[in-house]
Amino acid sequence: MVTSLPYYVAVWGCNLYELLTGPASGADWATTIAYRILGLVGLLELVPSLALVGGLLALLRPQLRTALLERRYKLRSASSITSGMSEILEFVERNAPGVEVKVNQLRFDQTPFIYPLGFRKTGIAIFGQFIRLWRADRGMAKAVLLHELAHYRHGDALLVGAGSPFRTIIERWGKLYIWLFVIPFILAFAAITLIFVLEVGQLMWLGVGGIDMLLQAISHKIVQSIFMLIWALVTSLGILLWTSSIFVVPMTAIWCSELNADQAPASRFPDEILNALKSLPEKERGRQWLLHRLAHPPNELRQWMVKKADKLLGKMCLLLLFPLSFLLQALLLRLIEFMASLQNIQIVPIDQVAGSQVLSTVLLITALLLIAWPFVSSSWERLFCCKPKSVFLSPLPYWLSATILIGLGFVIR
Amino acid sequence: MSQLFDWSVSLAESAVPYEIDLAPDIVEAYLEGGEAREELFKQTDTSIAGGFGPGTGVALLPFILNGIAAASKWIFTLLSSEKTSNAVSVVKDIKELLMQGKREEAKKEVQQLSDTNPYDALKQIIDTLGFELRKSGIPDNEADLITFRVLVNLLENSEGTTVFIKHL
Repeated sequence: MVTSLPYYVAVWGCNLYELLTGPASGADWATTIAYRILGLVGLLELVPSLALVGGLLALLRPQLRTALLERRYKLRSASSITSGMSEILEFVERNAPGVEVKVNQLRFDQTPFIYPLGFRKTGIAIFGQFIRLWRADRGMAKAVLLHELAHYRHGDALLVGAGSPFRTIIERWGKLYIWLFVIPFILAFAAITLIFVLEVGQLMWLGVGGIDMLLQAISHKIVQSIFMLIWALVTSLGILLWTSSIFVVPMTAIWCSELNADQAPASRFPDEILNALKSLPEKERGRQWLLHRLAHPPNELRQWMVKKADKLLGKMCLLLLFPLSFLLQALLLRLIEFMASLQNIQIVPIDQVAGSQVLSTVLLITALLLIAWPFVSSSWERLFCCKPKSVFLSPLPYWLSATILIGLGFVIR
Repeated sequence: MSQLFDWSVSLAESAVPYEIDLAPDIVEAYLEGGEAREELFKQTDTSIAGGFGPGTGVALLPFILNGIAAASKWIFTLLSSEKTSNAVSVVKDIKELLMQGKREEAKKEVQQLSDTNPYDALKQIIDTLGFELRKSGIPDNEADLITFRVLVNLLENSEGTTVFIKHL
């Protein structure tokens, strides 16, 4: 991420410059207005980067997220009036001392989640649905809680999760796409069509051309419309590729954090965590599918990882997933570069992010981190937890994964 | 309010035992009405806050309370009748049949109830409670069984039931 910062700064600069200076003037006032409206698409290209910047800025003030989430979900401190609630409090205290339990017993459409209360303070939100589950299926409920508490130990709450600007912006990306691209496109199209109809009407009124000119003008308009639609499709694809190229690395990081959190219950409640995953809605569609996919890995992958939790293959897949996302990002950026070259569009050079030198360095640094991780993981946990659990990590999967990354790094270089 | 607290716990214990910890708060929110009551039935499908996606569960107690509220006038008729104790034993018998899985026999028993009060009121309560419970999406046989469990409790805890209805 640090190595790619100069690249993103250059892209932001380029987008802002185009937005503020305005594109080239059109042949008439309507086309000029249309170009200006379509210039808004530059803002859309800024959104993914803003999501990342917002996510990093939120790190500085985690209390803002606390206030936002507690207001949105009407969370309040848990009291142990009922036996079920006191059992939950006891379970949390035993497995993650220091985590504050916040409750809204009256909502049944939410599952538990962790969120920051400060830099080294974490809360877990519990809802009525979970308290019901605690009575109905104790094993599954414990598996779900252990998953969330694992996020706390890994320090995930500060960076990702509920209420993070990154996730909030991702959730609204579809709406932004409509407001900053689809609507401007329709408006621009309407403006150009309007001036065209007015001009043809004026010429007909003056008696210039006749029926031949009208037919010619209509066929010209049809060709123009087809080109405009092709342009819209290519631009949409470009925006999609650009957004994917920015989101692919943080999204994989989120997926890895979820898969990693699943490992905690997988060792103690393997059947129960599998049942919890199997009970997730099977067929999500449209926006629901997109939102869930951005924040969670596919359910089949989660189940596979849980089944392979104690196997070398499963552990290595989990460790390699994140570094390999940089390769995917490079591939997407190369595709954008190719598309731009086809249209003779000049883009910011991508070698700062997708160059072989950079990729090789990223892979080698990650390999070094993996080699050291079995010995530094408890120190990492200590950064976020009051009382970290020291778990012995077998170095074999880490070192084997590091070997693969080193090999790959040298091949790329 | 302690009478309502005990009534809500007893109702949940007999009809929806998994919701026993939530019962007092649910009843309080239901009686508060407005936004608090609406929240009990809220179902969002796009929230991605938790690691296990949007929740798909519903609480049945709010639907039961909806049923009681909708059938309140017949519940009053039933509770104020001199034949309430007879109605209790009829309801208990039908509940037993449902617990044994004899749904058709239970249905026949309900159909054979007299059209005079308090049995007419009883039939109306059964229909209303069942209708509200089915809105939660639970299967028919489960809705029938819960309906009769609720009924037994309403009749046996008539004081608490009356207090709840008066607070509506």
